[in-house]
Amino acid sequence: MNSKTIRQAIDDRLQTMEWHGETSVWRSLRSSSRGRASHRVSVRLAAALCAMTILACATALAARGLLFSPRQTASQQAHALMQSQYGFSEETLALFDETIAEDGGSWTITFTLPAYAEQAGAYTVRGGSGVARAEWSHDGAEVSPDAALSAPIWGPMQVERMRVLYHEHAEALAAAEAKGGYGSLSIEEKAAIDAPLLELPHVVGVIHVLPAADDITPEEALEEARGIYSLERGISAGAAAQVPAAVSLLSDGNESYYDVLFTEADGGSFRVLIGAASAVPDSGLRVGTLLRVEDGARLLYDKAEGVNAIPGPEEDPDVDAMTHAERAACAAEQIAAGGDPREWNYLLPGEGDIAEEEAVALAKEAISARLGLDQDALDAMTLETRFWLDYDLGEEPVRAWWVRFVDNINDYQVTLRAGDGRVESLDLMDGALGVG
Amino acid sequence: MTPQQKEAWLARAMASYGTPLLRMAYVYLGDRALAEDAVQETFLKAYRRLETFRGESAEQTWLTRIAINTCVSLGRTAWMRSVWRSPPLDELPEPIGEDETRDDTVLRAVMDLPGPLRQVVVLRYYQEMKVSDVADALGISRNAVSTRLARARTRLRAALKGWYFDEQQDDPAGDR
Repeated sequence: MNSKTIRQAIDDRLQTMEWHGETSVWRSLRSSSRGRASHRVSVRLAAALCAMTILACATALAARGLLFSPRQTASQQAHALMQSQYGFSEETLALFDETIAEDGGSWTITFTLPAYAEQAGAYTVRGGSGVARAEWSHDGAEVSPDAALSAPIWGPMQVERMRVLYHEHAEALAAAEAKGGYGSLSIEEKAAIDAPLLELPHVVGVIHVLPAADDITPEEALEEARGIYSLERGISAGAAAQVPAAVSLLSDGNESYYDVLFTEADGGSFRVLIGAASAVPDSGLRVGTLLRVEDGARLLYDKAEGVNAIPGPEEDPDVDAMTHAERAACAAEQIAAGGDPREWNYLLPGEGDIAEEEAVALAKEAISARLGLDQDALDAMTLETRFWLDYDLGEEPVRAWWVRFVDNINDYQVTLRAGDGRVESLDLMDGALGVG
Repeated sequence: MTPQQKEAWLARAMASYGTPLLRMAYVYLGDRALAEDAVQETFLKAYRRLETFRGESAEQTWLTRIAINTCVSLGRTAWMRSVWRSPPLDELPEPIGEDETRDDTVLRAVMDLPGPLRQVVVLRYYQEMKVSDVADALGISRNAVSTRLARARTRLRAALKGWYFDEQQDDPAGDR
């Protein structure tokens, strides 16, 4: 009669079975990065062929107390010294990348902490002839008495703090999974689980974060992703809205991005990654840069890799025939579908921008002052206006009005800052003279 | 992601999930050395595929999927089937604690299940994954998972008679 679950019963029985294969993984990675990836296969096959011999030898050696190879013995000595001299626990030592070099009868083992080698320094243990000795590259340096990971130098206390952080994070993930499934957690809940990892000097891998103040919202990212999904699937926006979608916000340490995953009834999936920062900052446009689109295992678009298998529109929309509002909406759609924000730079004027009438009046004044034209002559010409982000006026894009007076002979174009109406440029695109 | 960030992730993942994955691999493969291999292989694969991890599942679920696929692949390998044999459970280190923790009944019952049934039991009842996630991880339908679980439960009921089935009826996960 037992109230244990299968998991509890198995864990109890296997409680002493622990994994300490970190060093082997690091070693394999170093080997493969040096082009020796196939080594493992041959070792495995050799092991299979010699299995019985090895077992027999191991049994014989074990009976004589000689089971450990010289490397293993050296490693054990080094671990013991690291524990007695520096106070590391075996669990903490497992975080280190351990490399061994042999020279005749002596050996040197180096312990470095992956990704935080600068902070933790390198521990070197030498042995083989005489008493083994350990030294630390930061020996003599001042180590903070508390465990804060912001310290420039990490001693055993800080490394232990890192281990505890990792352990607690794993426990929190497991608890969330046990509670009802990690996938159903909100962006806030996932970010709260990962938040303690931000204590580390730099972001570790991919972590869940909260949107920054200027970031597009999860709802905006979802809407943008749905637009792409409906286009790709050839379904209406309404139908796309019926497909379940999970939204995560992730950071890889360089940028934050939304990960929107659509799960279809037939088991298919469609994923859209969108930059969380606005593609057109300070523009009022609420779209993020499209980073990647996956249809199941098929990559449709990847900004970084230059992959674009998303069919574009049949032809560019006729922006000249559109109103300001239509142009701004069209630009947002184009950017969402992977268009270049510099090309699709149309916006709507907002608070703090001068009105269209004022921009036109200021443009007329500027042209008249420079060319001596009277207002009536300009009124007789065709007027065109655009409101956009001008990328040519400085390092940062500027909200600007572009005003054009054109007829069969002359073509005058004025660019004004939308904030204060200052004329930034006045171009005379005179066809007869060929000047600009 | 920079190599430094990837290495930091790997160090954390190994510290956090190495032992749970080793135990799962051991239950699945029935061989400590192979289980060690499987876990090592899992972390190497995860490191190389880290860019494809998007966060729709917990890291542990993602790693478990990689690990179970690695175990399946190792289990298929002919030389493993012909050369390696599962060591008796007596070779496992003795657990620390009460006599109750030395009870091999459940572990042995699970490890004695045929491969396909053991797969679903390990994932559903040991890893406590949802049926849909088990289906995803093994690349089979949910119906197939449910059918295998039902068959596995029938066998476990016989093997664990008197252990707890008489009290918990037919749900060994205890999470009806």
